[in-house]
Amino acid sequence: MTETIVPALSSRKERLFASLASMRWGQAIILLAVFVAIVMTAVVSYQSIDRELTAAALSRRASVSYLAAAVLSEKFDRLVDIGTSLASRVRFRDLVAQGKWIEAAEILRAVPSDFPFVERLFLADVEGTLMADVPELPSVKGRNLAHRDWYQAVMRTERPYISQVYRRAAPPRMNVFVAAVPIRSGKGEMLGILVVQVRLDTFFDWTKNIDVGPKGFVYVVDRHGTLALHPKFPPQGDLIDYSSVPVVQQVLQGKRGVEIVFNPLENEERVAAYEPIAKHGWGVVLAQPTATVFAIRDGQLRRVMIAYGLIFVVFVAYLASRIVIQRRQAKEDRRAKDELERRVAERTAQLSDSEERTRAIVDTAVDAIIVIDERGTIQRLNPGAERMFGYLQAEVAGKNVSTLMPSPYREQHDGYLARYLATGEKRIIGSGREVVARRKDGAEFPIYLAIAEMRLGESRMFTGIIRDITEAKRAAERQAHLVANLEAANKELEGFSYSVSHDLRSPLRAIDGYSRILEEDYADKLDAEGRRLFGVIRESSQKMAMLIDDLLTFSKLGRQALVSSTVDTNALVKEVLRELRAAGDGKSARIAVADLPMAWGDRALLKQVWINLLANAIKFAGKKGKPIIEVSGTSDAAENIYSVTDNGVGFDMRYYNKLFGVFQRLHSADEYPGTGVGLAIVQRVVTRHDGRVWAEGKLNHGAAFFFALPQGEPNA
Amino acid sequence: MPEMQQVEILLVEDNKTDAELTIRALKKNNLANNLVWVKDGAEALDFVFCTGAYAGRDSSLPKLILLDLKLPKIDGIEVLGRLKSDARTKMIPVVMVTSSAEERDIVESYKLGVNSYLVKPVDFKQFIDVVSQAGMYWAVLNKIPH
Repeated sequence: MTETIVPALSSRKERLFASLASMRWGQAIILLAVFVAIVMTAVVSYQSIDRELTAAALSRRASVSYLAAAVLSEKFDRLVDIGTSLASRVRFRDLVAQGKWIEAAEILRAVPSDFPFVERLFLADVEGTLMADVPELPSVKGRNLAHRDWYQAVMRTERPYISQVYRRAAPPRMNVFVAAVPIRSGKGEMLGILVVQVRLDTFFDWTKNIDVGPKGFVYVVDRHGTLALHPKFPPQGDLIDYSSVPVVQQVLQGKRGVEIVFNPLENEERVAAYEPIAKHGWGVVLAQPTATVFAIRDGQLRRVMIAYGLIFVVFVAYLASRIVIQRRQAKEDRRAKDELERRVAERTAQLSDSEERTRAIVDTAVDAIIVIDERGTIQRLNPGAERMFGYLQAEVAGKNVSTLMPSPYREQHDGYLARYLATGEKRIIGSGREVVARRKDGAEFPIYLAIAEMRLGESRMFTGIIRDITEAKRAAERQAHLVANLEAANKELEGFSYSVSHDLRSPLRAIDGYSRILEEDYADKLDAEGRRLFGVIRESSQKMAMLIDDLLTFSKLGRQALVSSTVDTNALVKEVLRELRAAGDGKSARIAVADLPMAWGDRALLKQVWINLLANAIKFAGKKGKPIIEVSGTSDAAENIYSVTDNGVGFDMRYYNKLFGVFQRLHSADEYPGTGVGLAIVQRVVTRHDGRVWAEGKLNHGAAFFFALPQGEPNA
Repeated sequence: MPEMQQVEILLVEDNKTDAELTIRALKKNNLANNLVWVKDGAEALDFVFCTGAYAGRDSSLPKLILLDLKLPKIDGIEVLGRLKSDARTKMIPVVMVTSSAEERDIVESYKLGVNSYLVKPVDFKQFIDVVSQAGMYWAVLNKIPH
């Protein structure tokens, strides 16, 4: 696995460097500078915050220990003051001087009750022998205390003295220290020592109020390093020697300071602030685990770290996104560059071809191509132009192009060109139109002339592309002539059908009317055969009238303009069937109409189609026992197809070509009356709708008629 | 001198047989008592406006004019136009009678204000019915406002 990962990583790294390298140098330097600035600021501010907060934490501990030492010093001074003021009372001095120790001690009796921390007081003579005490303890009087440090110190210095901590000899045994004050006579002679004995537990009550902070505490050592106060030890237990503790040694040497020390007993790093009580040789030490001392600092530093970490992450993310974008950009650029190079190469190839090709096109063009300058001078004639006009290029090059024009164009041309150049007024330039040209032999012929303008530097050139439209003109004329003929023929036909309707009907009416008058007025002179013959005359004239009417209808269909719209075929078929039934047709037939698609067309004409097809079906199925007629329709993208199927007499497919002809009948008129125009009308209407009509049938097996109409053009 | 009876119906018809059949149809309903038959449009206008051959005719107006569409000289449409554009004659009911239902004629006639329009059927019986109905309605039943 690692074997595959390592190369992948290294290649990614290479790509990263490649993209870094591909960055613009200025950007890279700016980014690098920002990066360095962030890191430097982070380091510097971390360090300075660390320093400041550490210093603040330590100096606070130092201050507390200093204050504790100051308070303790004050307390000692007070003890000394109490003793000194007692010892310097005149009466007391006198009694001591007279050796009346008991009486002198009596003066001190009230002191222990005035100062609760004072356990007792006693008096010693200059030999160190205890002479009196209040309150009295049994069997202490007369004991020599010369070995005590206070005796030796007071005798040596003749100054008050705070003793070391010791366990007193007299019961009840307890840990005490004393303030010893010299008793002097009025002349300054040393008379004895007043000793104020103090209980450790009550004396240090005040230390409970020192706020050292979490897990912090203060302890006090005497001049030998013995613990006078330590919150973790009972004040009246065994005396504990702390003189070997390094900070205690420091403080006993009169040094003050703050240190971070390791306590091997409790396996804890601590901050220790120590302060000596210079006047009395004791020391105060404040101790607190470093974890709690620096909790605030560490929290602050952590926040700083997180803040800078976030900045760094944002920066790196920005950088990464920049790199990704630039890489993508570079890729895009490379691709665009490749594409551009490819196109340039292609285009270059095309261009080198292009010149030759253009020449080939101009040379081989069937159309005439003539280039003139802005004065109208012929510059170039292509072979097509040479053929068309009968000139060779050499004959007309340099001549005015009007040479190729007949009057009056010849005379107008210079003016036209000049006007265009002066005013930009265009008649033919930029477009084309039909004009007349003149061949070398003088013959004039119609042309279609298109002129394009090109600018070559300062000069302008005009290219004329000329097509001989003699043939096209002739064809158009022929066509126009044909159309005129056709229109005339149509008009004639129209007139013909009009007069047919008027002029043929009138004699028919006379035949019918007069035979009727004969019948009415001469009825008594006619026998049955005579009346039958008149009947035949009338019948024939009426049949002829019908034929004329149908023929008129049919001819009208060709002329009438279509009024097209969307036709609801379902409704239309329903309507036609209703009308047919009302006329008495198809009452016995079962007519099934499926859902039919909508149609696009002339509703009135389509109605005629449906009338004819359905009437036909009813007529030809009518003689069946059970006439069945089915109407259905389908639809596709191009057209809607409708069908009418019946089970009637059908027809022989051999005569299919006669089916849709005018006056063509496949069945006898006696059996199936009709003029033979119905299907011709159907075909005509459908054809006028650009549709198709067809049929399938089999003699005596029914017929199916179909017609298809193109899908509507709702926008037309 | 007996008072001239008002002409009831003016028949304008160039075709003799059609005219005879029309008159026969009207006679059957006693409508042909006071009928004048003219054979072209010019004559019809002369009769109505008392001009030409009819100058000096008493100026009474027919109650109904049966006007064939196709006439020599001045055709039916023009006659209709002249009658309907003249204040004196525009109240006379004019029934256009024609051989065909050519739509051009019908539209043109109605534009000019024809009162009715009938197509002569080939069938004689129908012809009689149609002419009789038109004659009865316009000549007898319809009151011309004066």
